[in-house]
Amino acid sequence: MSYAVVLENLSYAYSGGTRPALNAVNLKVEQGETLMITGPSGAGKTTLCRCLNGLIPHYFRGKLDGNVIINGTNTRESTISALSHVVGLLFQDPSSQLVNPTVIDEVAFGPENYGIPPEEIRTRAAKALELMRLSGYEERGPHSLSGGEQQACALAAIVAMNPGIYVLDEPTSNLDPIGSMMVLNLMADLAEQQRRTMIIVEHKMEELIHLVDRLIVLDRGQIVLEGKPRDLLDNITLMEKIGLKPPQVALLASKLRVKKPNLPVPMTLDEAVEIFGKAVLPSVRVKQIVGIRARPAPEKQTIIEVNDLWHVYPAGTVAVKGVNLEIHQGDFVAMIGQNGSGKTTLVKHFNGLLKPTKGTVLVFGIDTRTAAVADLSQRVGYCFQNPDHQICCETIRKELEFGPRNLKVPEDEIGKRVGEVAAAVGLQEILDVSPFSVSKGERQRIAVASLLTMRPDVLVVDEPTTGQDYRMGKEMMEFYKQLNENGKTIIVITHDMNIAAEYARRVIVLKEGQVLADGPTREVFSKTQLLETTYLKPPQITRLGQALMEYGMPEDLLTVDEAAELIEQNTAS
Amino acid sequence: MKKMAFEYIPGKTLFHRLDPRTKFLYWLVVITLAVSLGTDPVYTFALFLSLLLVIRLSKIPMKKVAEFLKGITPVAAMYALFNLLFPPTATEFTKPYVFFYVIPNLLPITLEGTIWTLGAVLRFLVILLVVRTILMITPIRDLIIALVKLRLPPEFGMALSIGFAYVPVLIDENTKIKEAQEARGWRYAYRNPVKRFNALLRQMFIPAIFNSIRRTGDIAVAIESRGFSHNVSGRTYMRELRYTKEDYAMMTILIAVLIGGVVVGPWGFKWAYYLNSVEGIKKLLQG
Repeated sequence: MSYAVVLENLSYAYSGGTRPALNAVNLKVEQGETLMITGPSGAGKTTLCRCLNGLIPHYFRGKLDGNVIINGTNTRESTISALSHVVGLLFQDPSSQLVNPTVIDEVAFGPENYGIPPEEIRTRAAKALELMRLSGYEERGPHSLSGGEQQACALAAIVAMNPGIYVLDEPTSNLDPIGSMMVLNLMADLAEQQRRTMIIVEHKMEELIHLVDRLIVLDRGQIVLEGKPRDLLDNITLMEKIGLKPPQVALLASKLRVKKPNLPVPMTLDEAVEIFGKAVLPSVRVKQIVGIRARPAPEKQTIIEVNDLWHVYPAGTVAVKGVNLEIHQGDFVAMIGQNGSGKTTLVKHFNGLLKPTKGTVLVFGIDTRTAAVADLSQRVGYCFQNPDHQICCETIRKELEFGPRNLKVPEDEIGKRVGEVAAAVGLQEILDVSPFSVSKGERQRIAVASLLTMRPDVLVVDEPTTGQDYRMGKEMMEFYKQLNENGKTIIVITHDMNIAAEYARRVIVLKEGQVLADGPTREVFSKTQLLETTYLKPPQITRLGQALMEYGMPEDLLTVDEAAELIEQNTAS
Repeated sequence: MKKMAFEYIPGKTLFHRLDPRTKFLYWLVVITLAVSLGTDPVYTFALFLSLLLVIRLSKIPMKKVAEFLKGITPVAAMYALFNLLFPPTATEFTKPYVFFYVIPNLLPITLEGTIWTLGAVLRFLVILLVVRTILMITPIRDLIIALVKLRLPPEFGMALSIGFAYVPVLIDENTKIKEAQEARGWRYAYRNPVKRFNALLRQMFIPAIFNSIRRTGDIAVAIESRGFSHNVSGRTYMRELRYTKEDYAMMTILIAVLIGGVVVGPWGFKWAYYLNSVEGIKKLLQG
C-alpha cells in the first residue's frame, strides 16, 4: 500500500512558543482517502497543514522532530514550491490568498509558476472555474466577490494546479450555511471523481462528517481520537469534553441513551429521522409539550425605531430597502441573512456610523442624522467582527480606557469601570500586557470590553463566534446572555443558526436589504421553506422535529436539551 | 467603495486590441510631445483633442472622462492659479498686457500669463489623461506582463500586481478602522492640526500597520504555497503578448508623429501660435 502522507512521530514548536504545537503525531493517509481533522482552537490543526507542504520547516522557523513523508519524499529534503506541486493548500481566510487583479489570473497563477504551456493553462483554468461554478466571473476582481465566491475562487486556483493531495484549512469559516455545504460537497465530489487525497480541517461536523472516510481529533498537539466517523460518534462524551460540537442529532441520541443504551447514533438528519421514527417515537406519541415554551419577549420601551430606512452606498449599491422595525429595551435579537443581505449596513445605522439615504432612525428618541457617532456611541456600542481593526494602545488597560476617555468620563470613574469590566470578561490578570501579544480569542474579548467600559445600553455584536471554537463561542454567548439578564439590550449578527436558536428571543431575517421575517425565535425557525429562499436553514434539531411531526413532535424545537426533555417526559407518562 | 483610479473598461476596439507595449509607446510619444513642445494652448489643445478622439474610438463613455476630470479639478485649479500668478514667461515680453494687479506694481495678471496658463493646464491634463486612458483600455495584468517582457524582474511584476489587487481591500480596511474607532467615541475631526495628526497617527495608523504586517506574512505564505519561487525566470504567462499588423502600423504612425513634432518644434513651431495669438488678442483688446 502506498501512502500519500506519512507523519512519523512529528513534533513541532514555533520559535518563542511556550509549548509544542504538535507533539509526537503519527498518521498515515492512503491515496484517495478523505480525512477530516477537527479539534479546538490551539490544537495544532493549522500547524499540521503547514507541515504538509513544507511551509514548516522551510518558511516557519522552529524546532521540528520526526518526519513528514509526502508520496515517499521527506519534506526536509524538498522545497515548498516542489511540495506545493503535489500538495494544494487552501487557507482559512480567502482574502489573504487572492493576490491577482482578476479571477482568471488568480486561477492561472499556480500553473504559470510551474511553467505550464499557456494553452494548457487556459484549459485548466476554464475547467477549474466551471467546477467551482465561477464561469462568467473571469474578469471580476477577486476582492469584489462575496465571501463564498472568494473561497470558491481560492479553491479553483488550487484545483487548476491539479495536486494529488488537497489540504483545506477551515475552508468554510466565513460562509453562510448553504455556502459551506456547497463548498464541502464540491470537495467531496472532487475527491470521489478524481480520486484525490483530501485532508479537511473543519469545525462543522454536521455538514461534513458523513462525507469523510476517517475522522481525526486533535487536542493540544496530539491525536486523541481517530477512526471511522460512525465509530467515533459513540464516544460523544469525550468529544464534548474536548470542546467539539457533534451533529445535533447525534447529541440527542447520546442523551437518550442514558435510558435506552442500545439506541444507534445517527450521523445525518436522514438517518436520525429513520432511527427516531422507528426506535423511539412510536412508543412515545408526544401528547403534551411541556416546559419548553418559555422564552418571553420583553415588549417594553422602544429604544431604536427604524422608519422606512433606505441606504445607498456612494458606488450605487442599494444595501437596505425600506426597512421598518423597532428594538425594545432588554431584548436579545439575532440578525441573520446571507452574506451581503444588508445586516451590517442596517446595524451601522443604530449608532450613526451610516446615515439614512432615506427614512429615519431614532435611537433613544434622537434622530441619528442630527447626532455625532461619538455621542451615540455611549448609548449603542458596536463591536466589529475583527478586533484588529480597533486595537491601537500599548496595554490592554489603556485599550479599555480609550472609549470612556473619549467621552471625557472622570479619571476615578474610568478606573472603576475598567476594573469591573476586566473582572467580568476575565482580563484582570493581563491588564498591563500589550493587546498585540495575546491570542485572537482574547483580542475579541478586549474589543467587547473596550465597548462595555463606555456603559452602552445596547450592545451590537457582529459575528461574535467566527474564528473561535465551539467552547470559546459558547462562553462568549453565555457572557452576552448574562449581560442581557442584567438589563442590556443585545443584538447579534450571526451565520450560526444554532447560536441564534439557542440564545435569541427574537430573530430578524434579512434578504437583499429587506426584512424577510421578524418575530419570536421559535416562530421564525419554524418557517423552513421561507428561510431556504435566502439560503438559510434552521438548526438540525428543528428540522428533525419538523420531519417527525407525524409523531406529534413540534415544528419549532430550538435546542437539543429541549428535544431530549420532550421525548423523555412523554416516555415517562 | 471609492471609484478606482485605474478602472478597466472592457472592449474590443482597435485600441483595446493593441499590444500593451504599443500602448507604452503611445504614452511615451504623447508625454514627449507634451513636454518638448511647450505650452502653446492651440498645440496642447490639439493634443488634448487627439486624446479625446482615442477615448471616443475606444468606446469609453465620456462620463468616465468627466468623472476623472472632476476628480483632479482641485489639483488642476491650484496648478492654474500658481501659473497665473507666476508665469515663467513674464520676463520674456518687454511690454506685457496687464489686466490688473493682485499686488500693485508687483504681481500682475497679464494676457500672456493667462494664455500661458491655459496651455500649461491643458498640458497637465494631457499628461494625466493619457495615463488614465491607457489604464481604461488595458487590464493592469497585461501592462505588468508587458513590463516583465521589457525586462522588469518578475518579482517586481508580482509585487506591482499584488499592490493593485489589494488597493480595494486596503480602502475597505481603512474605512473599517475609522468606523471601529468612531464607535468608541473617537473624534478625529480635531480643529488643532497637531492634535488631529496625533489622533490619526495613533488610532488609524497603528491598527493599519499591524494588519498590513500580518497580511504581508499571509500573502507570502499563500504565494509560496502556489509555487511562486519554483522557477521565477521560467514561469509562463497565460496571456501571451504578440505584435500584430495593427501594432506595427500604429508604431509606425506614432514614430512619424513623434519625429515630426520634435523636429518641427525647435524650428519655431513651438512659439508660433503662442506669439501670434498673444499679438492678435492684444490688437483686438486695444481696438
